[in-house]
Amino acid sequence: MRADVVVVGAGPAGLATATRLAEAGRQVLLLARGNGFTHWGAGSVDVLGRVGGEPVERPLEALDRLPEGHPYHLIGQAAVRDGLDWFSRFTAAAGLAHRGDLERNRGQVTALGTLRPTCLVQEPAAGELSGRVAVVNFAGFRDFSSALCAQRLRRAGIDATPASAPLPAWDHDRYFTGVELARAIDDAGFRRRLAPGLARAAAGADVAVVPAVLGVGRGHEPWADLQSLVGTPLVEAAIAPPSIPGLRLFAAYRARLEQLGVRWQFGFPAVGVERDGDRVTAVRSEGASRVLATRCQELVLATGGVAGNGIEANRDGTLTERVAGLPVDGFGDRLGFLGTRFLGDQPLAAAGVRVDGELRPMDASGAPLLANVRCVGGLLAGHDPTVEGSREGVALATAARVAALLTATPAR
Amino acid sequence: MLHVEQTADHCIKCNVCNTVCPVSAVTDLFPGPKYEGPQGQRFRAGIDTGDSPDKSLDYCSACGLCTQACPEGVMVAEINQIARSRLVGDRGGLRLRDQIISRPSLMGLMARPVAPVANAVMAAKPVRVLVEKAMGVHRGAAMPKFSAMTLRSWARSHRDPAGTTRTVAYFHGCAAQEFEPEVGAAVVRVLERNGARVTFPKQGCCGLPLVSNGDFDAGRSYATRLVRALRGSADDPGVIVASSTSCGMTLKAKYRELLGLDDADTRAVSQAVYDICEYLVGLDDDGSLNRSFAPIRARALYHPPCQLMAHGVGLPALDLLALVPGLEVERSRAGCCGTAGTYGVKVEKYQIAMDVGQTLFDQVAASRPDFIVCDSETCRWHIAKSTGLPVYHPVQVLDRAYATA
Repeated sequence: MRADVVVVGAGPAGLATATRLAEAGRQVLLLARGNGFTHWGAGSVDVLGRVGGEPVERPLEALDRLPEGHPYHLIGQAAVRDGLDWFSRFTAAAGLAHRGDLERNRGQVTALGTLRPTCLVQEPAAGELSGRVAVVNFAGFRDFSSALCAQRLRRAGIDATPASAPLPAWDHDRYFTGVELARAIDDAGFRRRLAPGLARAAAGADVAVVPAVLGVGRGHEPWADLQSLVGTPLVEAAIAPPSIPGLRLFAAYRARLEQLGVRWQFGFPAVGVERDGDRVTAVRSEGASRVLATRCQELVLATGGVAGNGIEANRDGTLTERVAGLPVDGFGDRLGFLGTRFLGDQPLAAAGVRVDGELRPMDASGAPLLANVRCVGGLLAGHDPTVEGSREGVALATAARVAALLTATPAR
Repeated sequence: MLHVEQTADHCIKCNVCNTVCPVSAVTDLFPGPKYEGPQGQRFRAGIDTGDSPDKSLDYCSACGLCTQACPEGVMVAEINQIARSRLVGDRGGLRLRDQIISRPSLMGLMARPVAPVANAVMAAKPVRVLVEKAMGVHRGAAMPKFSAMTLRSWARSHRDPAGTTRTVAYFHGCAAQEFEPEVGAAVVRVLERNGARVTFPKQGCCGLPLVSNGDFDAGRSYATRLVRALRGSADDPGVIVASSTSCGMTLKAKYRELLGLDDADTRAVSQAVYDICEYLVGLDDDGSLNRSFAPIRARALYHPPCQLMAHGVGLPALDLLALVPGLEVERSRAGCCGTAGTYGVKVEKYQIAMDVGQTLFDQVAASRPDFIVCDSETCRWHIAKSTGLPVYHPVQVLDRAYATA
């Protein structure tokens, strides 16, 4: 197999990079070991939510307060703007308009009743929680507790009341998942039967918070339609994986990639590279019975950090970058990997590959190791996407930078 | 390398597999790959309680999309297939219908001498009703037509061309041998257009239908026989091309993953197997593919079979079809056509197969292509029956483009 550019990884960084390069006319192969963070996240674009543990109100201003070596410092504000502008245009054209801007963070409501700081959210999650707020679950849906959500929102000073909406008769006679409910809501007839019960549950409220299950296969149309049937603004709360807003986004990327003729391959991880001096000439990936080589001119690694499987943490305390064997900023000691809080500051989450201003991996002296390899997204050293709330921002900004770098000069 | 069942430990319960399962999307009878696979596995592994796996497992079509979507490398579909074999074992083996539909080579052997009669009988509605009642094969399910002439008898009268520059062995499988010798003949002609001499090593059924129906013991004896038969070709000529994506995939990976055959002979054979389109794209990569195709002015829809995705070779047929001038190719947006080998012919699963295939059938109805292209035979039969359109193996399209060039 052959491609101009092989992009490894199908999370927020890999999908954006592959799409942008293909839009610029490069012939791209997208290789992934499986689905990525789109399916796990809140379906938002986090640019910078916290610095030094403190919530950030104005993400662009806060970029300066980030420590040296942070990916944002390497690529600059312009790439951040470019990344988000492109993403906003792409998603709007795909029927997945986002709301929000880079100047000021907003609070995205979650199933736990927290308001997580983020930059852009899909339109169904964008409504303001002002006035009387009904927190409505659909009867029988087990991934959302309206009581818990409302209780926490009240603590934040929001006038929230829990409620439950009955589901109309449908195909499922057992417990069901959010995806199944979302597929049902894709159907206009189901929405018409669902709306009266939802309207009763939201009666008297100025806005209703519901779990993020309002359709998965038809963009935001089911949300808009249901909202007009109910007559009350509906705001989706982020729920546990799989992320339905993330599935919508993935579907939009997939459709765009196929339209652009991008080949993609899931389920077979890239396991190595072939080199000629300081250039990668081919990517090796697992096949059913053989390792296969795909020749390429450029390689983009969007494989993620430890959680995304881009980096392997070894028993001896060393860390390995899985595709090209790049050096990883390590800890030398396994005890240093972990922090004390599960979802808190975890040093291992910040492990990554050091790169230069053109996102090429560097050795300890700062010289580029491989001339035609770029690293994007969570694989990069110097940031912790979870604790900072910077995952999609870094992904889109580094994708923007790579798109600019690899399309400025024609393919060799 | 981890054993299939050990990969269950890598599950992080993220539910990604459940989002891609085409079966649980259309029926409650199958709760979803995560529940049956890594979660159910916790109760099946280690401690043998003597309980059979849950019978809902049998509704897994083994399409494998869950395994490909998993970000953590859990072999969800394969875990389910191994558990199904235990379910079948606990039941005392396969039921008669599954015994029969799992042995295409035997069916061919019995029906071939009377092929026209057998085909006419099987085309009669009252017969299909009877077969459904007595056997559990759905009256609406696509049935391949027995060919009066096998591929191997065609090959005996076929002359090798002069001036060949390479040799490849052809694993044609049961479909090309018994039902669609025209596909096998197209494979041979296309390879010959590329300077290859094609050998026909002695071979039998790969055992895939037995494996996917859950009779691993019978599957293993088919597998062992076939490995022995193909072992020589793995050394010389060293390349074994397969035109059935699912049988090729079985040889490449499933003997090892499912049947636990990991000996040197099995490995040698599995590493020599190439899907025919994978092989041709490889020639193109080296600049040695004969690209002199005549135009085919038509619109085609290409549907990649699930089992092709399990090869990990991308979509080589799309690359090849793109070389045919005039041919407009639209890509299927469906994950699975529904039939998944013998799954869709069973009376209790036929409607599920039709519901799963609806995404594809809707796309076909909307774009009205002149024909459909698909690498896998059971998918071709199912799609042809369901859409009324001709469905070709990609190599048949290439064969035509060469012939008119």
